[in-house]
Amino acid sequence: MANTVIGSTIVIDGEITGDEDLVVQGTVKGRVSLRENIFVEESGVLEANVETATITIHGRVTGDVHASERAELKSNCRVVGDIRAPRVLIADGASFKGSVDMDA
Amino acid sequence: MARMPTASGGPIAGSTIIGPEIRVLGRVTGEEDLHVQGRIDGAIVLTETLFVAPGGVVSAEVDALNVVVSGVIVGNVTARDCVTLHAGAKLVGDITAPRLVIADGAAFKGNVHMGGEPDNAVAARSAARARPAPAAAPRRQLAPERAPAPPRRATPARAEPARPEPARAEPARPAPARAAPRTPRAEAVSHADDEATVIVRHSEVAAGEDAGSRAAEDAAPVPEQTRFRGVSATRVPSRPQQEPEATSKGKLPARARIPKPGKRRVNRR
Repeated sequence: MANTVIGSTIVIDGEITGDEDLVVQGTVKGRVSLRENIFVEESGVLEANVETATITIHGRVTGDVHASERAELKSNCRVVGDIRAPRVLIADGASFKGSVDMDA
Repeated sequence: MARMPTASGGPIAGSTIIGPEIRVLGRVTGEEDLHVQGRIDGAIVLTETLFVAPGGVVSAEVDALNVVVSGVIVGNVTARDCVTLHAGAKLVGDITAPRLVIADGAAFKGNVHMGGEPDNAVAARSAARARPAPAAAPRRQLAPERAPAPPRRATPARAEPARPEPARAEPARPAPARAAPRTPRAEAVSHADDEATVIVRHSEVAAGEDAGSRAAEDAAPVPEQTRFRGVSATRVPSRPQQEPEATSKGKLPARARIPKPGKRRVNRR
């Protein structure tokens, strides 16, 4: 399980960097740069440009996402921004606005 | 979520955790407990408890209900209830909290404000903190002013019309050139002493203006300086002439106390 959890009432305005999994249940604005996995849960809001290995989105993401391995948009998620990842999975029911680049 | 217990205690599940490999730069706000095992730079505002685990580093202004530290905090901490510094904790900054617990093995540097002071004292204190130079200035003046006071104080008075600046700054430092070389000495005193005395002195300066408060100024700092420079023979005899009746209350016990350690120190050397 992930070590870092941003709880549902937490708002972070700024920058998160690091080398471990990140679970977002609250709100993160700014920039996120990780070499591990990001989970945006249903209550989670990410208004940030994201760099990561993998990202799994159940909640809302606004911003560009660059995943070096995989980006997964689950049903009921809402994503606005460009996605760059070698593997992009979009589930039925996901809402996505932006472009996808799988050359990365 | 299995998790090793931290010295800060308390269950971690269901709250926010900044893991050991994570760094947050910016502002963190929220209404739940926050456990910092990694690093946060910026500001933290919580309605619940901030836990800084061993290895956790917070370089931020902190405002929370409770603050429980086993790691490091650099920045001012305001808690509505309690600040707890466990063994191994390090805190550099001012603490404002009604309750403060410092365990053996914790390191702390800064001021503590627990409330219970009149508001004007708090205001004077924050003013002193905001402007450290004026607070220290009256003390630097002490030595020179003792002998040739009249000519020196005439100098700023003459200079004043030339400058449009507020008159408050003028009596504080009659001549910047003169104050500069003395700065290290004054700072040494203020470092060695707790800052509370600096603040008190400053509020006195603020309360009475110029000449009226000067007697009080003289009376307050002198015993303290003597205490630190135990054997300054020049200072001790000069005092009686200066303050005839200003503070007989504070002076007498102070002088009675001071010469003894001074003499002992001399004998050791």
